[in-house]
Amino acid sequence: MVTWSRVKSPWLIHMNTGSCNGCDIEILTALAPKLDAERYGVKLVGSPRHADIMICTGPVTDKMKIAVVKTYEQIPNPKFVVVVGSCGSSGGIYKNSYITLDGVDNVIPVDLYIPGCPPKPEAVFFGIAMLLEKLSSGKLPDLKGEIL
Amino acid sequence: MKISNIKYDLPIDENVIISKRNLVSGEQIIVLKPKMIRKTIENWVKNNFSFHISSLYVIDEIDRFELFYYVIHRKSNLSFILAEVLDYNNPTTQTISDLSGTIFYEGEATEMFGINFEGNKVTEVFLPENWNKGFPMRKGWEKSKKGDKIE
Repeated sequence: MVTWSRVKSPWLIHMNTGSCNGCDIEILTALAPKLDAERYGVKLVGSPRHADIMICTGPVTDKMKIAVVKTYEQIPNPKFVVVVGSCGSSGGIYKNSYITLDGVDNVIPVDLYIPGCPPKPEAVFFGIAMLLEKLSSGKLPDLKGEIL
Repeated sequence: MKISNIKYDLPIDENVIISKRNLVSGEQIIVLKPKMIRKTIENWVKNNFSFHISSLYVIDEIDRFELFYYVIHRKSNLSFILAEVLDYNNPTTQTISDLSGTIFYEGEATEMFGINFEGNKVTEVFLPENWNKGFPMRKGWEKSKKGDKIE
């Protein structure tokens, strides 16, 4: 029953950790009527306390570091982190910059990477579907930073 | 640790490599034979190697174009560059936008430099509609005179 409810209603919290907004727009496109991720119960929520999955975009700027950690800590267990975009995956074009931390995985543990600049909405949708498929097996997936 | 000392798990067929050289920053540029980048990346995708393309950029060398794919290796979090040299008069290569998220990078290279990526349909995004003034990032491009209207 718990697994069923978890798979049927994965709520997302979207956090821009310093991205250029390209990936953010692609995430919204994945939720928009054409692909309609909401038919799988996927829904964006405003509070991390209501969320199951955290979607991060951007290489994590110095100032966002505290906000990312605080948001992550507020999400109830079990929680998953999905990174969308090249910048969040490895720093992207901001790699080795003095003001960024070269990817979300240097701040919080990441379960799934969806690289691309920006990734297509289909890729974002596929990433979420892959996570749900693994969840539906009944065991919590150990993705260990899988790349799509 | 020097990049050249690291053994990637990303295999590149030695027969398709033209040359290797190191940048001042320590990153390695691997120049491949024409139209071999797609085959190489297809192989990586099929075998689930941990990599992604971070960005793509072009340099106009007047007599040729150099196309650079900035690859990031996930496990070691290190980067290197795949390069391809294109003919100036017919700069054509194959798209990898269906394998990795480079659709807009390729579209930008098409509009700014006139490079034809076979299979990529995103070609009218960055410049104004009905642009007919050539490719503005090419070195030989002459900007329009003052007062010219963009049609």
